[in-house]
This record gives sequence, structure tokens and C-alpha cells, in this order.
Amino acid sequence: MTDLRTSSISPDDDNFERDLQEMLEDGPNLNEITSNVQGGTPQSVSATFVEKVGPFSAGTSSSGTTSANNYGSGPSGSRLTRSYTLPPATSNVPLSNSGSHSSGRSPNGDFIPKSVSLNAQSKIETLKEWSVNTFKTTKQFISERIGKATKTVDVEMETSIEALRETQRKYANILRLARAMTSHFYNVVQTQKALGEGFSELAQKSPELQEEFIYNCETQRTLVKNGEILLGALNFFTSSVNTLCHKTMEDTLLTVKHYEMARLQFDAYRADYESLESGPREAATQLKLEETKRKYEEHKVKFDRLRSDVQIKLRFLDENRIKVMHKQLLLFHNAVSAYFSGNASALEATLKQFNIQLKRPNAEKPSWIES
Amino acid sequence: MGLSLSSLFNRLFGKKNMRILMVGLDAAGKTTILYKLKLGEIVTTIPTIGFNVESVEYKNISFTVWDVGGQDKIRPLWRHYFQNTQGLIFVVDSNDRERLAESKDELTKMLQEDELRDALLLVFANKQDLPNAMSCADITTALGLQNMRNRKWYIQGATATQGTGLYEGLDWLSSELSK
Repeated sequence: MTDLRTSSISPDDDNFERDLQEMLEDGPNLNEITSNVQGGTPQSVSATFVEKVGPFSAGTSSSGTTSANNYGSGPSGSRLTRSYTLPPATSNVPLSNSGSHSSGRSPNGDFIPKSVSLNAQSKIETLKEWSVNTFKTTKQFISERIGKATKTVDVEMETSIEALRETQRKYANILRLARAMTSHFYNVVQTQKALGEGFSELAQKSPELQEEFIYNCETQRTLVKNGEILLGALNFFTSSVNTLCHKTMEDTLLTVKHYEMARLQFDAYRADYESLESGPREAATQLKLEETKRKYEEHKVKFDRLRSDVQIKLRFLDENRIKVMHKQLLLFHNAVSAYFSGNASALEATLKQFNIQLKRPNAEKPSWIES
Repeated sequence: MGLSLSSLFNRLFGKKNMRILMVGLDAAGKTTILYKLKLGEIVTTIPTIGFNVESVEYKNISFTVWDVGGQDKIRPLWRHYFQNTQGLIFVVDSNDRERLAESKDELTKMLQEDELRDALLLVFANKQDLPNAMSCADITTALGLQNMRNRKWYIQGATATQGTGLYEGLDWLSSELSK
């Protein structure tokens, strides 16, 4: 573009002609590109395809299954609402209901340039498979929401998953409160420290009240010492509950998300298969039926595997939760009751029992100030 | 500009997270290593049924270490904790010559898993304090580490009960993570 402008301004005609020649040589490529673009714009079909390609292209490098997983693990809500616009757009195309597979192929064919490499072809294949998969899943998701499609429900499993989410919420609340308490208590200890220093200074300066000031200074110092021990216990408690709540439970919930995604996909292919099976049997549909059946069974295997994974993980998570909380609640109780009943030796014994070392205060600060 | 500044800020001061899965045969010392890292002390352990998870802060990285039991009956459990694992710590009892082949089998089998294809491999040759312990070089050969393609690995001799070698291993993991 800039080349053309400068050459038209420049008086050197030879130069201009050479540029023109170069442009002509580039011509065929340009034509190909423009014809593709022109072919794409007026038709609604290809326009929707372009829309589809936009957001999907990020997933092209990875394989179909992993991108499907990403889809499940990511913020699925936002993605789903974005692809919500797809069904009305494609429903303009009469072909989409009779066979989404073949309709998916025809716009693709338009868009593949002749010079496309084998690598790109396979990428397009993956992309196509993924978009068909996503379309089916989205369709299933929407029809479940509006109550048109049936869904597979494992009541026992759903109950325990819901229970886990509830437990996580409640533990997170306990954690928030424990952190708030630790934070307040930290401030109390800091104040006591400052107060102790103030008393000690005054003890030096006012001989008439020296004894009284020294009493108070020593009391504050003892309080600070025991307070720091209690802070050590509180920090250990919050850090362990944080790990349980946001790492251990989160890990199982991630598997649950994969499971829920697999459930949706399985149901989408199941609905597909069932509608084909109940339809008229012809030679043409027979082949398609085979294909759909294969896909359906593939997803059934995946779904069953993830379901047993979730079952196992829920069980082991429960054992871990009980083990961890048993220890932490014991620690919390013993430390708090020993401190507030003024039993310094019991407090120290508790920390020894749980192998907690009082770390350097500057190493502890970030752990709860940050959050 | 603001975006790059904030990302720079995060790079310099933000806490990184790293998910570590620690596995190995039973009685290799995984749980002892875990609590030595967490508490700085040796705790009495019993064979782990199920798993332990602890967050270990080191060099501004928060390591979430998953220690999964190593008895042969519960080894199939390992795969449930592969997801999102960035670092794999494989613990070997350097004194247990008879079962080194078994260790190798488990390791090879695990590394074929798709979910672990990008995971860093750190091998702790534990119990180096025992007189009959195999050297790191011998264990490297026995596990076939040098034949591994497309895998970043590192072997570190360690004695969990004294705490030697553990932080050197974490140093390698953290330096690989920040690359």
C-alpha cells in the first residue's frame, strides 16, 4: 500500500512500472484471497462460520480431547453463554437438523484454499471435530435448561458432590473467621509489646513508681511471649485448613467438573443416537447410525471412567478431611483453651505435641497479612 | 504499559504456586520428607493409606506437595492425582537394591501418562546415610534416567531424617519453574 503511494508520487516511471509488475506477479495470490473473502461475506452461512472460527482458533494447536477438557475446566459459564448465540444462527440453515455432520463439512470445503498444507488440514479436522462436539454439547446444555432433553442423573453421587461443595463453603467461612481472629490477635500482641516497652521506660524514669511499672512491664512481656506461641498455633491452623479447603478439596472439585462435562457430552451423543435410532431405517442412515453409535459408546466409556474416578476421589478426600480436621481441631482447642486459662505450660506442650516451631516473626507475617 | 508493569510486579513479588506429586514405593520415606519440609522436624509416621497434602513455602514459591501412599495395592491411586502436576518427586530407598527394578517399572509406567508429559522429574535417592546405600550414579543407571527423552530430570541424594538434600531438590524445581 505504501509502496504504491510512494511510487505514484515519484517521477521515476520505470520504478513505477517495476512495482506494477511485481504487483501483477503477486496477483493470483491476491485474487485467491479476495475471492475467498468475497465469497464469505454475503452468505450468512459462511459469515457464521467466520464467527465460529474466531473464538475457536485458540484451541487449534491442542488435540480435540484436551481442548474439550479446557472447555470444561475453564470458566465454562461464560463460554457457554457465548456459544448460546450459535444455534439460532445455524438454525437458518435447513441442513443442520438433517445431518449436522454433512452441513459442517460444506462450509469448511469453501474455506480450504488449494495451497493448504497437510498440517493445516489436520488442524482444520481437529477444529471441525471440536466445533461439532461443542455445538452438540451446547445444544444439549440449552435443551436441558429449557427442559426438552433428558439427562443422566446419579442421585447418590449428585448428593455427595453437593455435600462437598457445601462443606467447602462452610470451611472457607471458618477459615475466614479464624484468619480475622488471628489478625486481631496479632494486633493485640503488638500493642502489648509496645505497652510493655512504655512501662519499662517509665520505670527507669520515675523512681517513685518504679516497682509498679516493673510489675506491669513484666506482665505484658509474659503475655506477649504466650501470645506469640498462640499465634504460632493459629497460623498453623489457618494454613492447614487453607490447604485442605483450597487445594485438596479444589482438586476433587476439578475432577467433578471434568465429570460433569463428560456427563453433558455423553448425554448429547446419547440423545443423538436415540433420535437416529427411532427414525426411519434406510441405507444412508445406517452408516450414520453406526458412526453415532461408535461416538456414543466412546463417550459412555469416558463418562463411566470419570464417574468411578469421582467416586474414589470423594472417598479418599473424606478420609483426608477427617484426618486433617481431627488434628487441627484438637490443636485449635488445646492451644486456645490453654492460652485463655493462663496455662502457659499446657500451651507450650500443645505446640510440642503438634511439632509446631515458632518461626521467625517476619517469616510468618505474609502468610495471613497477604490474604 | 499498566499491564506489563503489573505483570512485572507479579513476576518479582507475586507468590508462585507449584503442584508437586510425590510418589515412590512403600517405606521409601515420602511422608517423612513431606513433614521434614513442612515442620522441619522428624515425625513418627505410619504407612500412608490415602494421601497427605501440605503447602510448603520456599523461596517465594508455594509448593503444594501431594504425598500418596506407596503400597502396591494403592499404587493405582496415583493416577487420580496426576492432573495439573508440574513437578513429580519420585522417592527411592537407596538401600533397597532388590526392589529397584520395581521402582523403575512404576516410574516408567507413570511417565507414559499423558497428564504428566510436561512434569519435571525430581528423584530423591533417600536414606543415603545408611552404609550400604547405592550412589546417585548407580540409581540413575538402574532407573534408566539417562535414556529419557523429552523430560527434564534431576537426581538428588537425600537423607530425610537429617534433612540433607531436600532443599537442594526444591532449589532445582524452583529454578526450572522460573525458567
